[in-house]
Amino acid sequence: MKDYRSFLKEYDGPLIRIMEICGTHTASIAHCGIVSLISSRIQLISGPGCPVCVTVTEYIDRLITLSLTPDTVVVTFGDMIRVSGSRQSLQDVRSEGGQVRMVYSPLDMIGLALAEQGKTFVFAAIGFETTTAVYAALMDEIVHAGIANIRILTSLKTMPRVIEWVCSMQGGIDGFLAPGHVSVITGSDLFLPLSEKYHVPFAVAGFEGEQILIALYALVKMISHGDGKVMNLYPSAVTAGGNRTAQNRIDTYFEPCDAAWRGMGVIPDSGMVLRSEYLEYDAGSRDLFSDHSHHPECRCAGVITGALKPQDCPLFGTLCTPDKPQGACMVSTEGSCYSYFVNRRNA
Amino acid sequence: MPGKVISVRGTKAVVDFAGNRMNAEAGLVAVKPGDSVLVHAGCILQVLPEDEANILADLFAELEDL
Repeated sequence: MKDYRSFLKEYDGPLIRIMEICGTHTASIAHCGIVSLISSRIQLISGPGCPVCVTVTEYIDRLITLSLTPDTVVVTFGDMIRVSGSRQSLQDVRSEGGQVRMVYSPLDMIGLALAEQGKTFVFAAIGFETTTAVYAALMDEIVHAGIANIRILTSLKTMPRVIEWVCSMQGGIDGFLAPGHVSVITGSDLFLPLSEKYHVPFAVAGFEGEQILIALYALVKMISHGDGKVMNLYPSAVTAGGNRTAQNRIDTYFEPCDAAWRGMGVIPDSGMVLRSEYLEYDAGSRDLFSDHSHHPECRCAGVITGALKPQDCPLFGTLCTPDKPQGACMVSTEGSCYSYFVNRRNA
Repeated sequence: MPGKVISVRGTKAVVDFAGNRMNAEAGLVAVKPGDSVLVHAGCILQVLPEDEANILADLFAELEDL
């Protein structure tokens, strides 16, 4: 085991393509220089796990409309503010009087809403299973406290269907670096049906460089031996069954729905929305499906699905930079283009 | 980065991240002062064991058998 680093560096077997699904893994791989530590015969492909990047423009347009509505304040994580809808971003409309605030946690909404009860606060609720658990905690608090001036606009995604989309549409992925934080909530068993159906291995990984290398080692070994199974290499945080309390809380407030993904279209049962009994807390989330790229040359869709590397986009590093992003993948710190650009990643 | 729970009151906790103390929601997992915890967007999602190395040892052995 001690020489797993040299194993990865010296690997000269058949070309292996591994997709890191999670945007935080993409950021860590670039930050830790993982590509320089492994053989060029092991290719890492960024997947659709950056929540900002996969959000369609109609959702952002809806946030913009809400921010310009009297006595309504849109509250969001920082990344979302710079992503363009079909014409503008939240940052653009803020200079035109749009009411937009940024917070560290969705639970900060409680303090905002109690302090200004004459306004309605709408949270831009994007994310995967991990963040959906936090929105469920928020919902629990506002429902039980009877707070009436909070809404959420959801664009929530779930992992299994989009990974299946990648397996069936994209092809050529030999193994998956499975998302660590999603797995904390769902459990590593979430990936068992996919590993069995498509006979591809999954390695659940933490986010330190060493944890990623160990997971890649496991994947290369499993791929080489034709093992399509799931290994949990993040056992300190992830169990087979996940966080049952969080799962139950999510199930109380949310239900599965079809969801629109930038670059992939609508994927059945790949999202979550508030259950009908809690629709009074929804700010108009249903059927926000259309997507119109801000720049006609933007290749975010291809990058998100792993079909293209960021540097394959004609705008990458020239018209599109972190200072002046044209697409969502260059805005988010978890976006592939942002990671490749700031870390000068080439492969 | 894991944080350390300083205090718990109901479903609210104070968590220390390398000297920075922040409030966190503690309703999704049972925590007590001194626990090392994983926090996402202001919400504690998991209590982490002190030593991951021992837990990984068995998995490493499994990998070596491949």
